[in-house]
Amino acid sequence: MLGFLSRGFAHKCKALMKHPHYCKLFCPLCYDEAQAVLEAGVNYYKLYIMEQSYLIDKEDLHKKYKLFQKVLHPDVLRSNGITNPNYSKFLSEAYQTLSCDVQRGKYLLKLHNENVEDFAMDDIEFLEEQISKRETLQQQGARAAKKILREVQKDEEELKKCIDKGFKQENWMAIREALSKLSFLQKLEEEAKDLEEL
Amino acid sequence: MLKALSLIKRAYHPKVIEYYEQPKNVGSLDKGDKSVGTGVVGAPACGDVMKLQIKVEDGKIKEAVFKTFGCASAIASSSYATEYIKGLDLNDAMQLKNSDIASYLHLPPIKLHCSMLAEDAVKAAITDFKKKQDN
Repeated sequence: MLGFLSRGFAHKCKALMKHPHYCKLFCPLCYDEAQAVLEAGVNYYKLYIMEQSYLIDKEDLHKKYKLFQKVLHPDVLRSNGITNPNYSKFLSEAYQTLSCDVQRGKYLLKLHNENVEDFAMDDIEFLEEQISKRETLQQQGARAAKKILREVQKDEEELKKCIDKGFKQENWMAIREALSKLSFLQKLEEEAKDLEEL
Repeated sequence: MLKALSLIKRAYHPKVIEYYEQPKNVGSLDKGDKSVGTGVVGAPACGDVMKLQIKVEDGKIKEAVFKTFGCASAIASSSYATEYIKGLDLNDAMQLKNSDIASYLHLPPIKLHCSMLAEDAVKAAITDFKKKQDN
């Protein structure tokens, strides 16, 4: 019955399953239980064994993601006779949500049963600043990209601190507004990075 | 680059490409001018930002210009919106619906928010102009 546990897999499995939480979630020995847990919907933070807060250790998240994906990759599972590939997809979804500063904020709002709809941006001054920076990028290209990138990243750090504070004080409006601003900054950052690479 | 362009061509309707490649009414007007109304809007979902300005004479929109940073549909939507409202009086311009823009440009459902953004920009510009007259 446990024939699917080839030695290699069992070894990797043990390495991963040191944490009791993971044993429950993913160990093939606990397959039925794992299935039930996944279907019930697992909290992404719990999945990656992280404290449920807005600011997270992204390096730690990335390391765990890589490790878990290695062990739970559909090919690895299949070669061990496990045909359910949901694990890998679920790990990716959770990773992508947690690693994006905007998505993570919205996810955390959802966990607090708060509205996650996009905040209608009415801060004209902020939008005008975005337009003027996008214009500068368009006109000056790579020359301006470095400077703008530095500015944007600094602004993003400020907003992230503001969002973190918002969660601690349960100030949902402030969080939504900051997340909305962060979306625009991410777009600007993306554009500046593209130009820098050219 | 060429590959990217051909991808755009395949994904967008010819009407969008026409406006994207040769957008009409790109520019800006003096924000401080009392006869100028400015609308600045943005869509957090995609990070697009749009500025649309109108110059009003005798209750009619004499000039309409825009600057949009975003996808081809957003640029086409705002360009078409400026064309549409030029020459109209303010009340008629206020009637512009995002569905007018979307159907003219054959926007797919996923790009409808671009036309809504353009509608919002027009309304914001008109509101800004009216507010200026009250002061």
